[in-house]
Amino acid sequence: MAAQQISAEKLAAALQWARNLQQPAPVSPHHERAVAELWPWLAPLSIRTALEVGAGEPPYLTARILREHGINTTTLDGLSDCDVQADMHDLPFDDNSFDLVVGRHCLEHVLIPYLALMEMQRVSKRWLLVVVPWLSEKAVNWPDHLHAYVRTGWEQMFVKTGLHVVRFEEGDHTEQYALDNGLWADREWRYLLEKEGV
Amino acid sequence: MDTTLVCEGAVMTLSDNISAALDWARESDKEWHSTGVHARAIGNLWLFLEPLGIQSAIEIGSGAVPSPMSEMMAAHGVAYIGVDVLNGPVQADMHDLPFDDDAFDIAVSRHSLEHALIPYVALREMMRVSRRWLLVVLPEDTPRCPDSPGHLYVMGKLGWENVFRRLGLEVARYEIADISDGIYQGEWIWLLSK
Repeated sequence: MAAQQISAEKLAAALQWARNLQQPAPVSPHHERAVAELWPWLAPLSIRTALEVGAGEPPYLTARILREHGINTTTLDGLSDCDVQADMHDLPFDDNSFDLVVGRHCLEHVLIPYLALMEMQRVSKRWLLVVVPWLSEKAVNWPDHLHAYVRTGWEQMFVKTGLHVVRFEEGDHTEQYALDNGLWADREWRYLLEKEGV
Repeated sequence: MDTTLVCEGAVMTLSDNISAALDWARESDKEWHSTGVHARAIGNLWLFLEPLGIQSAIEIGSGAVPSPMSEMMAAHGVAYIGVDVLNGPVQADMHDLPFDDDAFDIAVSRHSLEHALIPYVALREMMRVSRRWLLVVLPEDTPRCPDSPGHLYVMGKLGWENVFRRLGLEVARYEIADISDGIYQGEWIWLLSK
């Protein structure tokens, strides 16, 4: 099929609109607890290099844990002061640059999750770790969540971008106060994904 | 397209990867064939449109015309234009509609937004060319929905309503209709106002 181009100006306006909605997310203890639970998933995979997209700001979360375990980790974010400042839709790395690419609570923030996922898939040699919020009223109403899907919605997106699910878990990152008082639950869907044909 | 964007300090080159992704999304789509079940469902959509007093409509992802949608509009005296990147009377991508702002009374999408690579952009275009109304129909997230190769987005009802709200669209009316063809399948119908 002949390539049909769409207006770069309209796309730029939409990307800017989506970026303007985004807010900085400070590192919080309840997310630290959730990230610590992910290390046992990664320990057996012999990972030496990793990229975290949407890494946020120093001191980081996932990237910090990866570095503590001796993994050479690059952090990337569109807004903050990371190793690499770039947009998730266009990662400035060669194909197969990292053993692992991590995207934790970031795919729901980008305008084109398919494109971000394709880019993550492209620069990874084999493994992806993707964490997204579960589908709740609270997650949907969160000010900068552009995407809120049912589980099958995320999972078919993985399949269509050439990934398969190796491991899934519904985890929790509710803050202690809410947990203790049964106020609300912040849960998350955690996926370890592997590129097809590796 | 080869444009460098500078947004919030991050430079993004929209050259190859966005075009490749758009091509990939179009390739994953097959020509859509309307069935009798769909024709009945489309006929019933007039109940949503009748009170609005609309005189002109654009449908994105229309497929070939004449279609049940074009015939339904014609039967009620509404001037109708269909747009489809594959086989529409106007061949254009729904991410970039070749029409002026406020060119139509209503913009309709029936079982097409879930095929777009960037539903946010397609909806922004629908909002731009419509004076006020949008009619959006999407398949319910039953187990068969993600299996369709052209269905890029299976959000669930909450997820779609989140998208509408983010764009400043208000739900004027909502219903679920049965479009089962032996296996259960529903469709969500939203009448939205800018």
